[in-house]
Amino acid sequence: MTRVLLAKPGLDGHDKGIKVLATMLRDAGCEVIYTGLHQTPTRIALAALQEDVDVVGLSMLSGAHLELTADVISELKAAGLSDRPILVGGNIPRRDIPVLQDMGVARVFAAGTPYQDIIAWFAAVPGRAT
Amino acid sequence: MPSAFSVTDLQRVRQLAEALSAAERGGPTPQAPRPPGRSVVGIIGPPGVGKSSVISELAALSRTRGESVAVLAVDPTSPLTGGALLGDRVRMAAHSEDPLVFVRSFASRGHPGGLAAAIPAAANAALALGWDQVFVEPVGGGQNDIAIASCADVVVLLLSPESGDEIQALKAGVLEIADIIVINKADRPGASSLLRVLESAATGPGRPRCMLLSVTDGLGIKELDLALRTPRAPSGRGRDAAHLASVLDDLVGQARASLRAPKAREDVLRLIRSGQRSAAVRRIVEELSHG
Repeated sequence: MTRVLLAKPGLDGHDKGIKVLATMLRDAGCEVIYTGLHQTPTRIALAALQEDVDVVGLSMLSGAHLELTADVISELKAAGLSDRPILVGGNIPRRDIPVLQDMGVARVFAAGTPYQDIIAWFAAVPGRAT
Repeated sequence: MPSAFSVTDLQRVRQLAEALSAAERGGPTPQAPRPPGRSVVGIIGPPGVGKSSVISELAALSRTRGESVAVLAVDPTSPLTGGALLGDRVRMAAHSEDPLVFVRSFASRGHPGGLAAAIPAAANAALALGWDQVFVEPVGGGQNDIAIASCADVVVLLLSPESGDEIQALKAGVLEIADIIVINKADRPGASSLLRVLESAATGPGRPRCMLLSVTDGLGIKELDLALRTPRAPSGRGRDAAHLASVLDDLVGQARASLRAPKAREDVLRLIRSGQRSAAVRRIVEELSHG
């Protein structure tokens, strides 16, 4: 059983993608915790800690993904959760993918990623004993 | 960037997070006699009636008194895929930067009765770890979802003015375990006539208190908060039945788990296919008593 936190940090209001992903992951057997729009890095880290999730997924279409991801990683570290993989999705230019990976992002699913690729990544996450 | 939270608060949150995960695994959890003045409040009612919003308002009042709050919210697991979409945090956004309003989403994982199997142990663990106020929000429920009464000290049933037609249907189930019945969204038409119907229906000893509430107008929330903090004799209305129902829910959960053994599963399916349902039940009971 994999528990996933899905969050939209920052100010953009485009949540179609993350809602599709939430439904998709539910249908793939995950427990998906959706936090809604306009989350701060602090809120995301606190939610990840309280919910004891296995994976944190961030969706950003605002262009602020480098700054926001760095802040989320820093807050997760402060909360003692640096061992949880972070995924980033949304409007991510190709040149930023290695930058995000250098920060410690486990995988970037830029717009246009086939959903099978995302499901396959989750299928390989070691879930917890139920 | 320094963390927004104190080390002490983060430790408390982590400690409870780990205890709740242990409860979900069925592992050992912190237990202690229930401290005076602390309670587990169950907030039940149909989907969309405002359970999460009311909990959020009550949590805000607890926080003004300096109390810590744990919210255990249950959403349904899909019986087909085993997955779940847990969205109760969205309604509690007002507290999303307060570490001492702890919100944990539970998937029901096939447990009947509106709760997750881990909830009773989880609620006790939160109190044992020093959290002052625990709210449990079961799956937005039907009339038979009375399991909450076996683990909550106080059960609040939320209805809306539109619930009038449902009252007859609710009569036999959740109405019998409610200590307090709240008509939420009381700014809408029909609230006071529903209140009169409920008050005339609720008679006899241990009858539930009925009240109006509107989160948007700020009406009734302080009264509900006060009612929850007023010591009362355990009403016992329907509570013994709820304890029994809860134990039976556990039995169903265990029976389901025992059928994961291929041999037992095949035996039972063979009996069902040949029309011997009673024999199939006996086979499951046998499996449980040897398991």
